[in-house]
Amino acid sequence: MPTEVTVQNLYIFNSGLSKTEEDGANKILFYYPPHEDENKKVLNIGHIEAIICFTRNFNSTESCESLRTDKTLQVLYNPEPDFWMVITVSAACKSKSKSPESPDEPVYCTYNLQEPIYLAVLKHWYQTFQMTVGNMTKIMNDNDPDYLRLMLNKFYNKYLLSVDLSSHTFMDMFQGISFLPLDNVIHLYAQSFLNSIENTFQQVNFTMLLYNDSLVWSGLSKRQTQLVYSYILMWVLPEMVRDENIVKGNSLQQCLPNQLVGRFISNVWAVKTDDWSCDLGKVPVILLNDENDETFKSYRLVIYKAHKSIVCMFIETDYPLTAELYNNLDQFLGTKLHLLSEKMKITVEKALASKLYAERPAKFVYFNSMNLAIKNSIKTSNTIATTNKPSDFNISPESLRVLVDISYQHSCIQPTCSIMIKTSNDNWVAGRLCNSREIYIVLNQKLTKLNDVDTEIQNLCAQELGTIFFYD
Amino acid sequence: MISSEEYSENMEEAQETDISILVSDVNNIAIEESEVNKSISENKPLPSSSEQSNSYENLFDQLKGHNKHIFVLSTAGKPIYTRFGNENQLASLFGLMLALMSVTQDSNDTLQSICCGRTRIVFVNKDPIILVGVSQRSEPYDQIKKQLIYVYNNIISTLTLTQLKKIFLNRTNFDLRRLMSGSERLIDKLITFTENDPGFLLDSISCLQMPSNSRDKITQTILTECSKIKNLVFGLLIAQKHIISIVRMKKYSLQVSDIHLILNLINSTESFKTAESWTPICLPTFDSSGYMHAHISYLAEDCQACLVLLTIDHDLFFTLSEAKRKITEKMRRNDCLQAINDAIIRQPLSLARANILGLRHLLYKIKNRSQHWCPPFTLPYNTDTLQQNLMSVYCSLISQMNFPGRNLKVIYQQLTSETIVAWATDEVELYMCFEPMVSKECATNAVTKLTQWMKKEEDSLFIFNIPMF
Repeated sequence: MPTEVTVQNLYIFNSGLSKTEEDGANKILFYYPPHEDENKKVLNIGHIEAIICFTRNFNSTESCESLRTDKTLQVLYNPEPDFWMVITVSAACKSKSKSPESPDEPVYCTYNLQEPIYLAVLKHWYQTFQMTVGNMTKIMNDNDPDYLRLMLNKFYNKYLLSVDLSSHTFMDMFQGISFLPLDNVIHLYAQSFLNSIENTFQQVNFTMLLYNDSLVWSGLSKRQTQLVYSYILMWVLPEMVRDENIVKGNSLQQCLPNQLVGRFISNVWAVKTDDWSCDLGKVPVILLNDENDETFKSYRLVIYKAHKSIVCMFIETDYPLTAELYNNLDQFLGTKLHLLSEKMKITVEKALASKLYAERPAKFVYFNSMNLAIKNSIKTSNTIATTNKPSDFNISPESLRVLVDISYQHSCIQPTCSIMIKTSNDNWVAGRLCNSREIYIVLNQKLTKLNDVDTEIQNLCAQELGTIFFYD
Repeated sequence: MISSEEYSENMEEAQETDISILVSDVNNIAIEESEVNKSISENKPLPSSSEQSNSYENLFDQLKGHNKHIFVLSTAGKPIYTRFGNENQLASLFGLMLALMSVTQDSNDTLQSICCGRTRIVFVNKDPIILVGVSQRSEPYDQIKKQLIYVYNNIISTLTLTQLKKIFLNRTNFDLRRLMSGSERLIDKLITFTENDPGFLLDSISCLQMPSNSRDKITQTILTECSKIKNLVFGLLIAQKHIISIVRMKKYSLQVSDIHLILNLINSTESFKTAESWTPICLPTFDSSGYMHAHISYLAEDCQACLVLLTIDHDLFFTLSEAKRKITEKMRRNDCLQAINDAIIRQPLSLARANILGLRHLLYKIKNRSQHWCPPFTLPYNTDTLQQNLMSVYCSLISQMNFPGRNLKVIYQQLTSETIVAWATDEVELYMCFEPMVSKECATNAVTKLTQWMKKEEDSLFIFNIPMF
């Protein structure tokens, strides 16, 4: 039976902001839906505070993670001391034959809602907020709670509008990075190209290179890369496709008449933006934390595109952005990036052409938590989708939920393990974890013997993941 | 505080008290409770968190040390039962639980559970009482919930639901502990049972292993006597934790959870061994509204099997006593007592006899009969801790198999110290524990081989004949 998931509310609060019982509303920093009754907002938050306080009696070291009622699942995340993010989701079963007595009363199936998915979403959103706006405690101390409210509103309203939370499934738990498979020579070539940018332009602290939606190289740490990558995928790439056609009238184009091969991508959505002249458009300001001393430094993110590749350049805010810098960058990057991109295109196509295997009735997700690389056949990347047609079966919601169960077990119980599960529709769902590498497989085959399933999985691994070793 | 000895004495008294006395007791109690609880339930939870948690601190440091808590309170916030500690000292905690429940109820919803790291808190609202379970070992929610239902059933079994509702209808502030004195000990034992017994995990009973012809002879003997008695509904013959035989009246059947309650009552009450007893008991799954009357007695000095005869007629004591005497006599004549004794003393069937490579232990459940077989633990599971670990592995496996909305058929999982396989067909559920490095082929073969072997052994391990009269 299909399940319809709805987001009831999403709120962020800080208990420290309310001193008396009358000013309970002060605790609220962000609340969705905004038109909710004020008293209801305060009551909901009060309820969650009571739950948090109650659970401390039994566990004072870990923070409260979730709360279930007959109709809802509430997931809590405590990113900074006293700051809580809470999301409430409900699930109704869409049954074809409604019960005759109460046709309007939905049948709830909250057991189909899984905490890890929503916890992953909350964490990812918080980290993105931290990267694009900053640390909540710091913002509140440097300014005032109202300023933080404003920032949170800008950020979350935009995210809630653009993301369909109810459709989140297994795949959204990883926020993995899809790497472009390249041979060594091209890879070194790309790397030296990025190094030469950083060397030539003192202002550029870090660089990152993408080909379509795959990452080629990043000079950032893996967490930073993960966040910037997902930001680019979410806000830059879709925008780019949209204004590819209206490039001609771009004011940036007029300021920089020499842009022939490549172009700068500006006016990308961000909470904090910066410019030196409105003619050149705004660039996002991104906060990256220093891995060593936990402090945040802000950088301007300048994005340049040529052919199918984009270069992201992080420029310290101390350096001004000038038309001269833009022109120099354009001249330096344009042709080189275009050539590199064409080279990459050739190798990618060659690799894909040689990789025409027999289609297997199987789907897989591979995730390496060491470098956050993800490879999968569930959500296909643009680069690969062009030549490889996806398998012709869809993973059932049940199988996806079993995958979440497996991955949750992985994360909290076993350092190394292997699991195979046969579901009610006779699909096999398998998961393996070894050396921080995880692989999840769904087989749409009627197999009865465990060893046949195992052989099938091994063949798949050999075909798709080649040399990566998996403990058996 | 009453000492534990007094508890057990009180318990015996309570068991032998007629309902009429209980009822009159309820009516005689004067209204003297303060209004404290009302104020708790009216206060919406706006915790001035720091103050509250400070006052709790010392008390709850003790509570954190235990793995599993069970709390029972009335919907008016009166404490009824706590597994550890003293209810009176926990009043503020009970108040908070009630407040959490009632806030959720205000929005037409019911609080189910809270997750906090490894801590799981589960709420069950069975108006007029609320049960709360806290586990510190990330146990599955459904298992904790089932434990709470068992505790609830135990309370019903001593009071009946009708009476429980009536008590709280007349006096919302009633202190139920007045009527429960003595049954706390039964609840303690029941919780321990739910933590250790595979029957609880599998919703099934375990049968005493004996040749099927002996079992048939015993069942037949009981049946012949029972069928003569009007209003007798069920007859059970029990040896410790195992069932030897069941007979029942036409159209009625005994549910597993009710059998578990009876088993717990018998195994927790020493006095049944010395004298035949006549006890009112409510079987919540069978009929939560009224009492049945149980004639409980051990067959003979030289045969420690307990015969339980359940009737709806409270005047039947002497008839049942006579029937029991005849059953024992007849059983002695046709060597049934000897057969029972043999079965009790006999080494339980070992899994080693099946001779399956790599298989260490298993749970085997026949679905439609709700009966299971759990062979004795052998090496490497030779200590209590290791056995308990294995049981919690089974527990999470069983819960995973039966999770609502999933309906899984097979789970094969390699863990660090064992490989486990769950295998469900329409007839049986199998939970097997293998050596960690067992091959998949070997595991698949083990299922086939075991199924064949069980076909030969199942006659003595399970009760296939539950006759009606």
